[in-house]
Amino acid sequence: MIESQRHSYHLVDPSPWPISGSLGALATTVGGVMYMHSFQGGATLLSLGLIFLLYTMFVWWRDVLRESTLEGHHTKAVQLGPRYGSILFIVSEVMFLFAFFWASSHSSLAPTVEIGGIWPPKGIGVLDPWEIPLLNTPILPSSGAAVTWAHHAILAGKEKRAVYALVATVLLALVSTGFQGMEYYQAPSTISDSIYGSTFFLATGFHGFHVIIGTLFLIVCGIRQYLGHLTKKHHVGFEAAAWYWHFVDVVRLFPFVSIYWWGGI
Amino acid sequence: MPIATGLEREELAAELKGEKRFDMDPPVGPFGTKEAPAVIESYYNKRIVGCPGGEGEDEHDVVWFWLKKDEPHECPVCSQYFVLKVIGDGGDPDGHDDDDEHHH
Repeated sequence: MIESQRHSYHLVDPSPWPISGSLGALATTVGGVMYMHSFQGGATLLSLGLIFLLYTMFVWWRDVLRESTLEGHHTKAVQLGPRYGSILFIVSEVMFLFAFFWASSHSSLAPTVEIGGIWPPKGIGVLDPWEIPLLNTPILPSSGAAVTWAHHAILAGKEKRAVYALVATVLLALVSTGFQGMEYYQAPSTISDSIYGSTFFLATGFHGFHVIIGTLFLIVCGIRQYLGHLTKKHHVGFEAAAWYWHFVDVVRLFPFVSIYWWGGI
Repeated sequence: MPIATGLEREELAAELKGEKRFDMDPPVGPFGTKEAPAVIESYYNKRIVGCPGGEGEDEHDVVWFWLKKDEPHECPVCSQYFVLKVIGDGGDPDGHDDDDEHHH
């Protein structure tokens, strides 16, 4: 087919992954609701759903890598698809996190009488923003600088240096997640402690979860760079990971300023 | 030549030679008349064509039609005249068996 193909698009083969991903998502949401309402078997269905979903993600993206890197189906026109897709996905992620900051601001700008009319609510202990939160805030932008170093190395064809830069990026990401874990471990409140705990852990927790997703994405890029999958001219996966990483590192500044600092003093 | 394979490699190789690997551009040319028709090339015995009319004031909304082999077409809006020139193996572009010799 290839030798006669006169258009530049990739007409994909039939794949089982869309339906398996849908079933995994269904089991995950139903199992999650069952689990949170203490239904019997909820934890089992949730776990099976998550395993199914993670398996689907692995094999689907494995297939995309085979089609692009090993079979050469990703012409210039095809590369535009995942590019636009990644950008739109990140835009939707910005809106997702915006909702949590909205909830936090909504609750803290005019604190209700139930929480003593003050923010942080009466009796709630908060973290000192000038300790670990401040220390942790520049780590993600530094990691963002390291991913830019990796990008320049890829564009310059310095393959080994790009791997080193990605290792540095991932290490900084892990340090950040480590600090976040430490902070949660020592936190004076929990997610069930008033609207403060709910909004604090929802916003910082989802941000931390996105840091972990971005870290996994960067690790995959590092492995692919090590294997020689990424070239000077074609490294869409890396670009998407770098955009995602910059989204995650810039977003860190919002919880620091509005939740830890403004909302914690 | 960067490391690449398959269709991606063919695209890059053609680019290095200053050629185009794919046939993605719409046909353009002078306004077709009965004496000098607009010749539309096709790999098959028919092709979907859109007539945008003439230049400037004579432009009209694109009108789409099937242009068939040995059946010239006259645009009902601007009377531009089209003929099909088969440059491939001919045959029918429809259906699911048009991936040439290979079947998966």
